[in-house]
Amino acid sequence: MTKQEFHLGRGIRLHTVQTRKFKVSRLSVSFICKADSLYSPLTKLMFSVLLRGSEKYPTVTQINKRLDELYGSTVSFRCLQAGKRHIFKIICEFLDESYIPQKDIVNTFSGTLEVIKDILFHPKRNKDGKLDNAYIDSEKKIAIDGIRAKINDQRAYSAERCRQILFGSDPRGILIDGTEDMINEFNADDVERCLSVILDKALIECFYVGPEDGENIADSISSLFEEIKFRGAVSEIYSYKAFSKKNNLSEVTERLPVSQGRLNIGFICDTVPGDDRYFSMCLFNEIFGGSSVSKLFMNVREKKSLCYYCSSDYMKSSGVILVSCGIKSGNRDIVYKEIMSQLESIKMGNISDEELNSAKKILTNALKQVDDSTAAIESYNYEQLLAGTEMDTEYCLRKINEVTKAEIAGCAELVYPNAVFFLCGEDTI
Amino acid sequence: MTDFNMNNIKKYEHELFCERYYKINHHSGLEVYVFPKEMSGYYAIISASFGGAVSEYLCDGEKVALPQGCAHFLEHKLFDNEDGRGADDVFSSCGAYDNAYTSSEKTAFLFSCTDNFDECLSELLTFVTHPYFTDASVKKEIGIIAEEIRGCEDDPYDRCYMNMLDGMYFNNNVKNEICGTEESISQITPDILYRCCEDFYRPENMILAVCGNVTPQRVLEITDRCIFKSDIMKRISVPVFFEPAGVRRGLVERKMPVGKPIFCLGIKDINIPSDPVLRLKKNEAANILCGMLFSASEQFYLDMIDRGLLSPGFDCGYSINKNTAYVMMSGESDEPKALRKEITDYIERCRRSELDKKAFEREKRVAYAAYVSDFDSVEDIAFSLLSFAENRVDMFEYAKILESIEFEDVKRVFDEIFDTDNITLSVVMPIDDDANKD
Repeated sequence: MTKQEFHLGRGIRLHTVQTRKFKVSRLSVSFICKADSLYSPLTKLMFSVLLRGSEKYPTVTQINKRLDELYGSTVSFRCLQAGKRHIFKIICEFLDESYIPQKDIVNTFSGTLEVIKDILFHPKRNKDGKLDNAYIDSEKKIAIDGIRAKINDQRAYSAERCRQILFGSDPRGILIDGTEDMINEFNADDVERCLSVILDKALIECFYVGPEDGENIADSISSLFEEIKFRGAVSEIYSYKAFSKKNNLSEVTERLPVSQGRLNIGFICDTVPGDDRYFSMCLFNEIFGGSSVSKLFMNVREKKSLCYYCSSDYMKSSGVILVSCGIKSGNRDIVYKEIMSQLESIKMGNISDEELNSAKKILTNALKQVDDSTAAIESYNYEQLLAGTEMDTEYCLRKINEVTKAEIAGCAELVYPNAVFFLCGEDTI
Repeated sequence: MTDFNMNNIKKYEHELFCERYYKINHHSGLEVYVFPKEMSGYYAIISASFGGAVSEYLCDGEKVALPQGCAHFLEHKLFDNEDGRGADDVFSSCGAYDNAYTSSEKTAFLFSCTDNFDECLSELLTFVTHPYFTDASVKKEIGIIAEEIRGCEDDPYDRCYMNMLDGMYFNNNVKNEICGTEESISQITPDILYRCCEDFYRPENMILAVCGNVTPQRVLEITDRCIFKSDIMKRISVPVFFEPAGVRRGLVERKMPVGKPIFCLGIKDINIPSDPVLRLKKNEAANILCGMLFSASEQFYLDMIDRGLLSPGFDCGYSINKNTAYVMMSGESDEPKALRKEITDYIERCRRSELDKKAFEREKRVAYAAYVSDFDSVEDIAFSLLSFAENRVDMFEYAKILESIEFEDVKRVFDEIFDTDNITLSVVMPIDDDANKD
């Protein structure tokens, strides 16, 4: 695998990994912005509108038809949160031409690139040159429907509510989706302005994984952005900073007529990638609730049968840990106490050799598999980029294996509960 | 020492993809598939044809009835080992990820790892064939599974899907709750679980699929050490209940705390070819057809989005196995009943006019690309191997089967499947919503 980086000027950067390992290649174009409670939902809406139709492909069905012809190329859109930034990412996946049956000649890469170029730079406009209002209204409705439908997935909903309570007014807590009221207020002029701001100011990071040489991809990406002659943006070195505001424990309970209650606890841990104790914190999380042999799983679920799932998730870009579990609502206090007693037990250094070894091996296993998929290669490298670190997997593997029990117990001391969200089921109503 | 001649090893190759795999008929009766792939990760999955749909069966002529949820309960409990060290502990100590799932048709156990492959595969093969249950461990599991059942009851997507199956079928056990009910699982005892293991977790009733940087000989050596031929032959048969045409209920409604109505619309198909190749061909033709009519590349989808009757995320696909086949459309809609009418009207319009040949060609390309992309992941390969093995079709034959599908086949499948008398609409409405009342 050959890794290259190209500065294409105007705040546009390309990262390439050349490999023949995969039959489907991947290209993503990310627009990176500061998290903003108003502009983030607007930017999301703007991209959704662009993806509805362009000059050459005026409807979503025409875009999809063209992609289907290119042997099932896909163009998808995702919004991600990384610390105080929001990332708006267009992801293309396309078949390596050498696996297409000989009777057809299809250039999947340049064909797909041509589609996203039209989407980004030639959105469908009315005769008066304005963005299509029908698309804007339709996407506004879809965005609002999406906000309303969040409650359908109670596990994800309660985790999101817990993050909101934890971060309060901090930019890390800003929801990319915004609120219904906000979406209702957006109009065509807002969307138009947002498009020009994004094309002028957002940092643009492109990532390619596939068989082509990096230089060739750099030429193609330069021509993708050829219509932007000048941009105010310049490439920057990113970094993460831990959210470390210690509050009195704030707790919110919502009631819903469901059978299972959901308990979520947000902890600050004051550790992000690049910090000396980062690898110890990764291992702490693994031992605490990261796997099916973690303390939370083994004790809260297996020994006490208090829940079906109980796990912890380390949000590295913000330096917080979220614990979530599905419980009988009446058991809320017992479960909370049990979770906290498992944290105390790690603080006391109560970590067996087996727990430490398993945790190290599980993290090792995940790192070794990074090179097995285009998405994982991209995601690993993005994380390094956004964290402002340059740790290759070999380095990470070595550091993980050096961590001691005392260092993990030391990390546990930094883990402090700041927020609780409880979705209370009907067995206690 | 492993005697390779005792086991019938067959090699399959694909020239264009530069891929190969091996099928081993292990002397124990276990079918083993090995797909060598130069990746860092390994993936192995073993399945037993014992799923949530089995509520009774015949063992050497004797009828055995089971409480609902047995297969799933067993899936949980097989991870316990007699020495007190659960299979989870062994996999974790190897850094492996392990999991299991139960469907209507089967129970499957799997792991993925980068190191200690031999130890992981030994553990997988050993724990699924060495049950260890006690009254206390079974009793404890009842609490955990009851919590899982409650989680399923709260999941509107799961409820909507199960209600669709319940509305479509009169007798087919696919509509059984796979986890069972809190009442049914309380009847499960160690004796029942041991009996199920003895009858269903037999090598001849199981398939192993492995993908990673491994040779068939290595997999075979480990299999030889862990899997043995059963001493006692058993004749097990699971009765297939006759399923008439038509649906039990055309509409199933339920209210739950959802933000927006969700729906599953099923079109029941009782014409299931017994020949596996024909079944696969029908599956592919029907899925091409679903794409031609309802994908996001088609006008109908766009019209429904524009009129607010559908939300993006709408999905339409066909699934078929030996006993069950249906088209399912699912998604979110403000007015599911109005959408149903649009769908049935559209089907009738399509019946009267010609299907779109260009759409047919596009959908074939999409199906081909989806097939090729599976070869990029050890996980996808292992699942594909298993699925093709269950259907008794060589996975490399798929491209040829797909190529052989003609426009005429798709037209025939349309007439066979898209019968608007066989539709069940299942809807989950928000608790306070009265807007969609007739």
